Amino acid sequence: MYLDNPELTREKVMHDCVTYWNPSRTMAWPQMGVDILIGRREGYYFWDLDGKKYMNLHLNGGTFNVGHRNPEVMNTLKEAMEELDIGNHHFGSVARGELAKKMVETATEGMQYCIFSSCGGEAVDVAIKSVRYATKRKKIVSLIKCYHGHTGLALECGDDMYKEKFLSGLGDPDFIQVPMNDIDAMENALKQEDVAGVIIETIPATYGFKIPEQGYLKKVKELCEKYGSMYIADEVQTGLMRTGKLWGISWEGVNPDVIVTGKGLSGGIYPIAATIMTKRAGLWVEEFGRGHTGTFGGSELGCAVASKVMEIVTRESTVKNVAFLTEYLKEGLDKVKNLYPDFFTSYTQRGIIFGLNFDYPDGGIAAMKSLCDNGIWAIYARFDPHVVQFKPGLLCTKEYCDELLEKFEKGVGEARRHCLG
Amino acid sequence: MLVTMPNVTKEEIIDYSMKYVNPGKTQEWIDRGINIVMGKREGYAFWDMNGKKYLDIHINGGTFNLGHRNPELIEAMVRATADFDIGNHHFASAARAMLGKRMNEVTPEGLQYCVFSSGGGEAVDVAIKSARYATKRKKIVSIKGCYHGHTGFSVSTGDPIFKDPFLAQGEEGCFVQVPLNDLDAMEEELKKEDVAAVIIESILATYGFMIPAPGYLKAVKELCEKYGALYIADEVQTGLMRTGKMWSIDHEGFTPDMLVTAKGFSGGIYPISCTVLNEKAAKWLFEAGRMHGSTTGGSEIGCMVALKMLEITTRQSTIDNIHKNAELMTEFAEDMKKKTDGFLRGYSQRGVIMGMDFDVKDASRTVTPALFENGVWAHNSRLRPQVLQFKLGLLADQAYMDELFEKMEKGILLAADRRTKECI
Repeated sequence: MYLDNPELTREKVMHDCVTYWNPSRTMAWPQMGVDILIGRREGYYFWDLDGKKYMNLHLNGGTFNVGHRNPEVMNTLKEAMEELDIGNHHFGSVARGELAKKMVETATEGMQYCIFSSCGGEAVDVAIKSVRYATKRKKIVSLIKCYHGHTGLALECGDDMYKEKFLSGLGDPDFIQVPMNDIDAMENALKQEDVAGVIIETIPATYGFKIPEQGYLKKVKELCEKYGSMYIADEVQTGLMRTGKLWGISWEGVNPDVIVTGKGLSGGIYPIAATIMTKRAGLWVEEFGRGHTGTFGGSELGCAVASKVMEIVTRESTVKNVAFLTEYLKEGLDKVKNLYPDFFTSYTQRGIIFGLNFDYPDGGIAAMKSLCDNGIWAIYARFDPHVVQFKPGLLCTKEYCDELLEKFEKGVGEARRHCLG
Repeated sequence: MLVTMPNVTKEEIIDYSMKYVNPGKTQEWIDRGINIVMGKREGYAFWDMNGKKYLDIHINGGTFNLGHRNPELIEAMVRATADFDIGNHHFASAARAMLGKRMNEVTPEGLQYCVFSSGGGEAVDVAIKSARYATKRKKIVSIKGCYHGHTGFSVSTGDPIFKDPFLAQGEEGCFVQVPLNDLDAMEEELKKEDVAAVIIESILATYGFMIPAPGYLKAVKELCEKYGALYIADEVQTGLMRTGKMWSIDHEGFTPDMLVTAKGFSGGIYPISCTVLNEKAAKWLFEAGRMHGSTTGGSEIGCMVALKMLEITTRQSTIDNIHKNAELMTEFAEDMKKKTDGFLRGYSQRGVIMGMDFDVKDASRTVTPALFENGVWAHNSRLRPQVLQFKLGLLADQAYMDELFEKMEKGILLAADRRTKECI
């Protein structure tokens, strides 16, 4: 309807985005050979404003887990619109109560409370404020090359790259970063017993989905217990069944003190995020419940949407499909890897989260461009540009995979020729 | 009772809220005798799940400016889902382009670039990051008794009651507060020339809608210019025509470097907020536009809702209605002052924003319950608890005003009466 407007041309949209929105972001993508302006969208496809079809393997980190404009989710939103709105954050609410119960009951052992926000960064801020309140300590430890969001506290626990230019948190002694898989470094950071929490993406996404060494996260959790710190599992990209389990952390045998989820919880249509906490981590909601809030966080419409999303992702058919995709795509990727072993050298995988390694300077950016030419939108990993993040949706069919693998083989071949000749 | 969840009872919801969401908050309202679970809602009223109707003059700080479930906004949102979803924050987008262009038209000359977020706190964080990038300075000055949100930076600018318990004061020495209307104190901070920005709510909401002294804000802006700091106008509660003009800052005769809007920007149905920047403040958007992003900020559905919200808000009929109702509110407050014999001590007002100053310690424990018994939901301002916030919706019609004033009068007289008895 809105997109039918003939005045809505590519030139006009680009012009207006440069003039009124974000000039350098708008131009950065065409400069990398990715000239996409999304128009129509459905399932795991979208169409450029000019009509070119793309398969979406980026999914905005799982935001479109259940597809673009999933009819069940849209229907839930429409139904909820019949009587709900953002609601009143001060009071108990039907939609929030129901969703919180669902989130707590399906989470890892020991969870008790669920606080809603309108985006992942805010939900991370809530996690940090909560562990500080509970421990009466200030320091937060995170991993080098991690990403947790762009709001104030989320930003400060992230990589220097995003802090530096905004003069925000660089060198702040309250935020410490240690290398992944280095248990000694972690213990050194924790043993002063002044750390409130450790926050870790269960599989660091922006770092190219490098899977932590077997047992590392469990050991970190044990150290947290030893030194009185709390463990925050950032499951924004790894949760909601993307790994084949509801939460990625369940692969690690860890029951965290806090789980953060965002992105996919929105069903791709309505902003909502959540911080799930144990009773201990949630001390403030018992003692000082009005100390933190968000006008839009826990919007009742958002809760209705998220409730439906939780139902879809935990369905047996969805879990089975993820198991199928996990195997089928592995086989398909292996074939392409064997075709181009000098370029597409390896990949990491857990469930349907993949980090594809292209052994060439900025090989991930080159692959992204060639895949884009072939109708696949997948994004490179910002902190390791050798890597393409490959994130298929939970409900992809076999036919979709076949189309994808065919285009993928072609795209990778072209990228290889381009890079290696 | 809700149609979509017919089997859920109010008791269950209170139980779930205690068990799984926020027991402290849930219990606090119950202890105050305000045990609401919102069911049906429409226009400027909502119904508790037990069926009792309340007129909403809290409207969550303007979130429901255009009413609960405004049919035009619902239609815009449903229409938007036929094409759009949250969209991709990396790329240029048709919906963001449309909204960005429209925002440029409705903000003062010079405010040009829009960064969209999904909440007000996040939008304040964006303003602070932008100021730091542009000035290469770190310090942020705010006003004592202010409130700008609960996210990482926004909470650090605010009052100690929100940040101290969470040890969220921010980096040492980076967040400074000075008293409202004290230009010397402001200049004292600014003249160190290490301040990135001053952030001020154009009327301090959580501090009881204190209207800054005439000329104060303009003088602060001049000091900012003199000492190289940027001025951020937090218009989250005061923007979108609530003061009778599009932005409260339009009453003050200057243009800020940045303006933050949220709450009502959502139309009450879809989380979206916006930071509008002038060229100076927008430096990062030219040099490092990918250094800040937000997956759900600037959702394309949200953009279409906000566009429709702006259309309704800027209609002449809306503006006329606000002016008419603002006068009625003044008359009502004057009348109440007389009828309560000083129990209502005074009031501050701009447009349909009013702070009613009662002769009590805590209006939320005296006036709020009395109004509540009479079917009106209003709340006090947290940092000046004797002040009741009276936040009228933009589109309230005459029948609503009549019903509201009748119920408010009963409630206020009841509170005054209780107060007298207490004194005897």
